Amino acid sequence: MASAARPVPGSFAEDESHWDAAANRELLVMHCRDCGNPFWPAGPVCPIDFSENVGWIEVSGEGSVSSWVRFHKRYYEDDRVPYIVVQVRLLEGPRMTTSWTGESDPSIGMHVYVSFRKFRGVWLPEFGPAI
Amino acid sequence: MLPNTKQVAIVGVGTSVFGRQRSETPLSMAAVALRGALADAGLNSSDVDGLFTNVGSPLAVDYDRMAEAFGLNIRSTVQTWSHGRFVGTAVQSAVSALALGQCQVALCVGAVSFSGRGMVGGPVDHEGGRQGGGSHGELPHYGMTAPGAGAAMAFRRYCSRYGYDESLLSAVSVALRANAQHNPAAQMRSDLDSKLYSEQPYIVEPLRRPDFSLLSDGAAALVLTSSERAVDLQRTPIFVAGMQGIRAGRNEFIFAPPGLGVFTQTDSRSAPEWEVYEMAGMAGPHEVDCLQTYDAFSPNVIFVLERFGFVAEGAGLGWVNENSLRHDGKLPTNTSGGLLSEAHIAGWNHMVESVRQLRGEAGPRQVDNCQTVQWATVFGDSIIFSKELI
Repeated sequence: MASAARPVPGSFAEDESHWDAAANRELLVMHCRDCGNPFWPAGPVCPIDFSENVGWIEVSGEGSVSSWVRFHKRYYEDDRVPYIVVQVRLLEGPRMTTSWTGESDPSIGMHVYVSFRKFRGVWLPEFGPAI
Repeated sequence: MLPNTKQVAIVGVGTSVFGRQRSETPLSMAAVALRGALADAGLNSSDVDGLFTNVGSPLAVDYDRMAEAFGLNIRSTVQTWSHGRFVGTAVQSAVSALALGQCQVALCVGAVSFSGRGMVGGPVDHEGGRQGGGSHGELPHYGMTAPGAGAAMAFRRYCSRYGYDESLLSAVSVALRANAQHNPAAQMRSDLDSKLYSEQPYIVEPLRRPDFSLLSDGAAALVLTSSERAVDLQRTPIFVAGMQGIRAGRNEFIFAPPGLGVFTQTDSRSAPEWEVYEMAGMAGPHEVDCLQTYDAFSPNVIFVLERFGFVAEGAGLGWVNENSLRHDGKLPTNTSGGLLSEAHIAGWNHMVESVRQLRGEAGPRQVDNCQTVQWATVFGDSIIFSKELI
């Protein structure tokens, strides 16, 4: 029977470098070498100009809170509610949606920093205020 | 060169009972709705040669099962990806097929059994784990799940950007509940005001239970044919005067207007949609008497008003707190109660209501002098229904 707990991220070739880097506590996103735009989520081509000339860049790990939600309903077994999911605008531009590491609530515009948490054998980037 | 296209009209509507925990199968409810629609149209099942639907098995019925079980001879069919959002798309597919003569009489139908589902999202949602994230912003490994969470993320962003107190959202569910109270067939008819709303639990904050659509069982069907044939049938034809398709792209998120600044969107809001009005020969949304919109979550209603230019960018939430969405209000919207209070029949209840309003059959919730009803969604598709071919 399938687990009712949160799953690990799906295994997609275009994402591998992101997860490998997270295991090294590095935050990688993709960028287009033709138009110069960083982008997230990862994909096989540039989502701006369809270029195949894409690769990975390490980013600063800093950004600001763009939005956030708080789950009161428990959707996954083993989750403790309430819990927060935050949408962060990286300094470099793209947005990333992750779990929240802060003790208190985010506020939109708050400056945040990436950290990494091991979840069922996979390292996940997540964001919160400076420690 | 394509043959001359034909104009299209709705000539019959039918529904089953809507409710929760109904024992009927979706297949049997579809039969009830189809029988009603055919009787309304004065047509027989042997006349139907087109079949169009959105949600399929297991929550609803697939096109092939209906065709086989109901003895239909179908030569043109579309069944979309299994999400309610495609209700407008299904109707537009029928219109296109009829216009090109690929069928003569099209059945558009949805028959759903949602109430036994228990949970929308979480481990039963397999689509959320797709590459790049789910269609509503899901990222299950972060606990980001359920379509409502994406709507919540967009709404919080909107309030921050335009300086609103999130509690103002109560105006949407309160207005639609009032509309449902004029609809004896609606599933949810208990009183709702802003105080009662604020006492309801958050599901995914900032959205509360009344901001989430119902889970329902029921079916609704439309019969469409060419305008040429429609004028010879027994009911007032309801013409399709204009339409435009669902939008997609990097600046789109299903539950936000383009450029709101969530997920992959930019922060640059787009000009209001105009294509559907131009096709219908209308000057704009101010000529619309009644709006029907896919209210899976309350913020969708705010966002469609902005997307289509009923209100200016950022003005939607304030507007619905100062102007009424009730059937006798400034912009009658989801007049039978919508997904939020009538029932979740995957948008088919809105299509039937559009026809009833234009026929003048909406009883206590009838919009005065209703000549034009617009179906429009936050994700950009729209259909204009009219009593006259413009």
